[in-house]
Amino acid sequence: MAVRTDSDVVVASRRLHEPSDPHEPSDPREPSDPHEARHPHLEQRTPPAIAVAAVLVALLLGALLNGPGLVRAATGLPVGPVRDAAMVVADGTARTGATLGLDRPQQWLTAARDSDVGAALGTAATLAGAEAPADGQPDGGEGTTVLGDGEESAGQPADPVVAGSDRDRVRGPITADAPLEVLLAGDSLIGAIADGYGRRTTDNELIDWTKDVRISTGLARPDVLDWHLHLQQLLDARDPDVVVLLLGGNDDQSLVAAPDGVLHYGQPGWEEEYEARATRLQEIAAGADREVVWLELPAMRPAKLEQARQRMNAAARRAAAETGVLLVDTDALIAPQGYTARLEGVQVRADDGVHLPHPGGDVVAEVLDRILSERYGLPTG
Amino acid sequence: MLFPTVRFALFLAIVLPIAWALAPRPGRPAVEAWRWKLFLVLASYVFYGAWDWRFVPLLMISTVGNEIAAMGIHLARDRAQRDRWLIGALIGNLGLLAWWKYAGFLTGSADGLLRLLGIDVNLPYPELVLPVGISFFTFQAISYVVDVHRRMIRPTHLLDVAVYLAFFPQLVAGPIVRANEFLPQLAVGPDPRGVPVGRALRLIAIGLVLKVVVANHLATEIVDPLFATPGQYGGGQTLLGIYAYAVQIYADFAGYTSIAIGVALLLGFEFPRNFDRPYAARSLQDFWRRWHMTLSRWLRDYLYIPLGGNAHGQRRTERNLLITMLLGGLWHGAAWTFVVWGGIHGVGLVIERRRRASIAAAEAAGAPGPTGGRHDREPRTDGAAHLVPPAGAVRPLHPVAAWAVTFHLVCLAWVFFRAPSFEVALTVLAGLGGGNSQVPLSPTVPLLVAAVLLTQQVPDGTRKGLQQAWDALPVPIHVASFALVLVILDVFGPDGVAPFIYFQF
Repeated sequence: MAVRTDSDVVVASRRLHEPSDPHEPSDPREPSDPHEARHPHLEQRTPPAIAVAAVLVALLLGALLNGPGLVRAATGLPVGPVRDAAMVVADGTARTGATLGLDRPQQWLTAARDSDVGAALGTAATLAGAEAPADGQPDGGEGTTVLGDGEESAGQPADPVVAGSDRDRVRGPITADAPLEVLLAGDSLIGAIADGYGRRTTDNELIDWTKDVRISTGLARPDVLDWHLHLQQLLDARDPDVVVLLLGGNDDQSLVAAPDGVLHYGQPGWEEEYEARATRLQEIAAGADREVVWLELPAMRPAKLEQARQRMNAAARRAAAETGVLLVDTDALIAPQGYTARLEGVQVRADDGVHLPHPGGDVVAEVLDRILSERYGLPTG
Repeated sequence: MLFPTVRFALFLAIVLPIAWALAPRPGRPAVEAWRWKLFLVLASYVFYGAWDWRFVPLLMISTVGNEIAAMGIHLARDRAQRDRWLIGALIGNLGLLAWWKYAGFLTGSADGLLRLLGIDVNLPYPELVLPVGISFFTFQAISYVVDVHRRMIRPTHLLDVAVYLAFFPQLVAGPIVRANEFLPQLAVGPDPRGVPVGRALRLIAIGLVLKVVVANHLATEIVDPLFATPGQYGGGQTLLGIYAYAVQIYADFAGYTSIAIGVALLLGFEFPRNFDRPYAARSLQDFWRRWHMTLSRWLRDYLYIPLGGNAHGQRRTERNLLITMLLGGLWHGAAWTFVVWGGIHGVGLVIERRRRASIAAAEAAGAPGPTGGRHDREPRTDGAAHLVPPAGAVRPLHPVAAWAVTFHLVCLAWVFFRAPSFEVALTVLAGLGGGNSQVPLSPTVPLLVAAVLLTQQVPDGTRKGLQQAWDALPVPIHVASFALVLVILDVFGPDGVAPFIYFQF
C-alpha cells in the first residue's frame, strides 16, 4: 500500500495515487532531493557505521573517564537485581578506568573544583540568615526564655502538636545579636515548608534560619546519603537551637546497611529497623539539648505511598515517645479529612499528590512559626 | 527518562545501532522501511513510558485519532465535510490538552472567583498528573491535520504519523517539528551519505553543559532562593537574580533542544533550529524570531494568521497579536502568571508596532535637512539612506539602547513566568528597590550570566565559521572531547538531575 518516491510524501492507499486534484497546489517546500535540501552546505559526513561506532566509543570512553560517577549512579538505584547488575558493571568500569589511568582527568577536575580557588568561586550562597552563627550560646545568666512544657496549641482548629518537648537549650534572651538559630532539614517535602518559614521570618531579626533539602534521600539508603552522619555534620557546622526535620517520603523501599544486610520493604523486621533509624536521627538532632520538631509525613494521594507513610509516621511516633521530640501532625494542617489537593480554596498539594506547592508550604510554615514563637516568646511573621 | 542521565546514554547506545541496521538504504527494498519505522515508534514509546507508562495509550490515541481525521479531511467530498473533520480534530486535540492541562487551573480559578463573590462551593478539583510533553505532541498533531486541510501535505501511513508524533528526541520538549519537515525525511530514510557526527556531538555536548552546569548552577545558587524568599535579597542581587533566570531558562531550554537536535542528527533526521541568540534581540519582534522559533512560527501559522494576522487593519492586527501572545502564555503553563507573561509580550509587541509605524510615517513625511532641502538624506550606519524625520518625531532607538530596553522587558516578563504567584513576582520586583543584600553569593553567578549574554552578541557569521571549523575536525577529536564533556558534567554538575523547565508544558 505504501508508495515511496524520492520526493513525495508516502500516501496511504493506492486510491490516492489516482490523478491528483487539479485544485491541489504544489507544495514549493517539498525539495526535489530531500538530502540536498537538508545539507545545502558542504559538511563533513561520516558513514553511518563509523558514526554509530564513534558514538559508542565516545560513551564508553566517557564511562571509563567517569568511573566514580557511574558508581554513584548505580548506587542510587532501587535495591534489587538491576542495581546489583549495575553495581557490578559500574565497579568494573571504574576499576578498568583507574587501571588505564583514565580516571586522572576526573581527579584533576575534582581537585580543581575543591581547591581554595574553586571553593572561592563555587561558594554556595547562604540561603538565609546572612549573619554567621553566633559564637557560643547566649549567656545563660539572668532570665530564661520561657518554654512551654508538654502540649501546646498551634492555634488551628485541630491541634497539630502530637507530642511535646521539654528541652530548654536557650538560656538567655533572644536578641538580634543572638538570634534563635533554626535549621530545617529533610527530603524534598520540606522544601516548600522551609521556604515558607523563610518568607515569614526574613524580616525577623530574632530568627536565623537555614534549610538543607536533599532530594530523593531518606533513612532507607545510607549508601546514597547517610542522614545520621549528614545531620551531625550540619549540626557541627551551624549549631542550631532548633532542628526541624521531615523525612520518610522516599523510604518505602529496602533498608540498606541493616544489621543483617538488606531488609526489604514489607519484610519482618523492616519497621523495627526503620524505627531504630528514626530514633537515632532524633537523638542526634536533640543532642546538646536542642529543640527538635519532627514534621510527620502528610497524607498522600498515591495509595502505595499513603500506606507506606502511615507506617513511617507510626515508627516516627514511637521514636518520639522515646526521644521526647516535638511531633507535628501535618495532616491536621493540610489534610484534616484525608488527602486533599485544595483546602478552602488554597492549593495545598502539587499535581503529583505528594509534594507541597508554595501555598501548602506556607500553611505548615505558619504553624511552625507560631509553635516556635510561642515557645520562645518571639513575634510571629 | 531525562537526557543527561546514564539511563538515556544506555538507551541511545542500544537504539542507535539497531535503528541504523534497520534503516532504508540504497539496494534495500523500500518496503522494508516499515521495520525501521516500527522500531523508532517502539523505542519512542519505551522512552515515553519511562516517564509514566500510563500515558503511552494517550499518545497512541492521539496518533490514531489524528490520522483518522487527516484521512477524513483528505477523502472528504466537499469543503464543508473537510471543515467538519478539521473542527473535530481541533476539538479533540485541544480538548485533550484542556482536560489534562487546564482542568485543575480552570476549576481553581472558578472556585477563586466564586469565593470572591462570597459563594463558597468547593468545586471538585480534578487532580491530574500532567502527561509529559502533551503540549508539544498536541501542537504537532494539530499542525499535521491543518496542513492536510490546507492541502500542503497529504495524509500518510499511520505508522509514519506514529513516528512523527512520538519520535523521542523531540517528544518531551520540542522543537515543534512540522509534518512537512519530518515526513519527507521519514519517507526517504536517513541520508546515505552519512551523519554529521561532529555537529551532532557538538550540539549534544553544548546542550548538556548548558543544562547540567549552567542552568542548574544558576538555579541553585540564586534563582530558586530568590523566588523562594525574595525578601532577603537586596536590589543588586535581585537584579542579578532576574538576569540569572533569563540565562537559566535559556540554558535549560536551548540546552535541551540542542541535545534533541543532536540526537535526531545521529538518527539521520534534521530538525529545525529553535534558538538563535535570543538575547541579542533589539526588539520584541526580533526576540520572537530568535526564541523558541518553532513555537513562534506555529503560533504565527496556526493562530495569528487564521485570526486574520495583519491583513485587516491596525486594530484587528493588534487584537490578533494580543490574543496570540496571551494564549501563547497560557500554553506555557496553567496559571495566570503565565498569561501575564504573554500579555507583557503582547502589549510590548503592540507598542513596538505602533512605534515602527510612527517612525516610518515620520521618515516618509521627511523634513528639512542641513542644507534646507525637503528630502535631504542622512546615511545610516548600515549604509542605507533614509529621510531625516521631522523634529520631535519618534526616532528609532540607538541599537545599544534598543537591546537594553528589549532585554529588560523580556526579563520583566520572565519574573512572572518564574514566580509561583503574583505575590512572589511583585515581591521580587519590589526587591529591586531594596538596599544592600547580606547574602553571600558565588562569583560564578555573574560570570556565567555575563558569559552567556556576551556569547549571544557574537556575530552569526563568526559563530557559524567557528562551528563549521570545529565540525570539520577529525572524528576521533569529537569522540575524545565529548567524553571529556561527560566528565565535566559529573564534576561540575549537581547531585541528581533536575528536570527540564519545559518538560511538563
